[in-house]
Amino acid sequence: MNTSLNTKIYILITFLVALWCAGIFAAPVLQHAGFTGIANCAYSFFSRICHQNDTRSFHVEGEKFGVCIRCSAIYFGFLAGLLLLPLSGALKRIRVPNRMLMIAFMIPMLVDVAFNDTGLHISTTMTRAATGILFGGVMPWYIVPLLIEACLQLVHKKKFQSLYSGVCEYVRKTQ
Amino acid sequence: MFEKPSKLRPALLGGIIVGAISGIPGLNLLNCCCCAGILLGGAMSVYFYKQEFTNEMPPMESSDALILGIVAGIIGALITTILNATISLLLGPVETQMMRNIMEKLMQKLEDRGSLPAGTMDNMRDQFEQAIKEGGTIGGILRSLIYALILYPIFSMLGGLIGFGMFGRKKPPIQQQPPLQ
Repeated sequence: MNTSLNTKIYILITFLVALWCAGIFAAPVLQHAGFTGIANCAYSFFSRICHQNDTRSFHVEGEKFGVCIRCSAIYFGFLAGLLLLPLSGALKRIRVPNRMLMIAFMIPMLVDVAFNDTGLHISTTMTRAATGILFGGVMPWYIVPLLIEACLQLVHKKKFQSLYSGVCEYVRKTQ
Repeated sequence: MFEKPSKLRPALLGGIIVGAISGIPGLNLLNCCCCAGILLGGAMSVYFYKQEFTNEMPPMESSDALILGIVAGIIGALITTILNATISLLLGPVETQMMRNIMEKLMQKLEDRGSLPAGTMDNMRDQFEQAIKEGGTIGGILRSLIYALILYPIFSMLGGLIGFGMFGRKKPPIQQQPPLQ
């Protein structure tokens, strides 16, 4: 297996996920710094995927994050899991853990949501953050190996090979 | 040698699921939970694709799931934008008022039961008004389309990969043992 290519794809994925998380954090920082135009664009972008309820969001200097506590926990948990992924050797050997384990890690979050909506218990910042981090933290073990495998398959397919080599040559020339 | 089935139909079906969930008011609340509707559409496109495979065909690969998810996301983004624009432009102010009333009643019920914190209704009302205002202009529709074209393929692709992990892997064929003599 081409481990150097695996590492390159992993670094690219990590960079993109970090960029996503930075966007969530940047929205309130930009808003506070007075860049309201860009901040509004960021809020509008993330409003497509989150309710952005003020009372259910983390705040920086009085301004809410781009997404709610639960979503923030999932995304930042995903980033943390992604950073820990190489330690488990998942980059060297493409292997997806048992799917039941994923469902097991998803259950606390689903229970928290369902019980809150039915009025059986009231979700708190702690339950939202903890269950979100738990779910987001394990997802890289299920998604990233498959994503790397898929990218490797595409790179080795003939019609994508010419595109890939063209991009590599362009990068080499610009360096 | 048998070839893999065409990806067009499953991608289209997945895209319709994404578009319907994201574009129909009320159903689109599902996307507030980490784009669950979009993830579902991506996963379903992989499920539909898997159904078209026969034993003679080469097995489905993760790259197929990746492409299916992305295409379903793009189709879903287009359908959502068209649905949203149609609702805003064609249905007019009477239906908008009707939708507003339904939403307010639903939110009030949830707030009374304690499922929603106080102040959520104002927040949702602002978002609804903003969506109506944006939906009626060309700029708003274009901005909505650009955001959807960035977000939906990403989440639909993730849904596709999750779907591949759940039901895409081909089980090894059961080898028949020769009868014992």
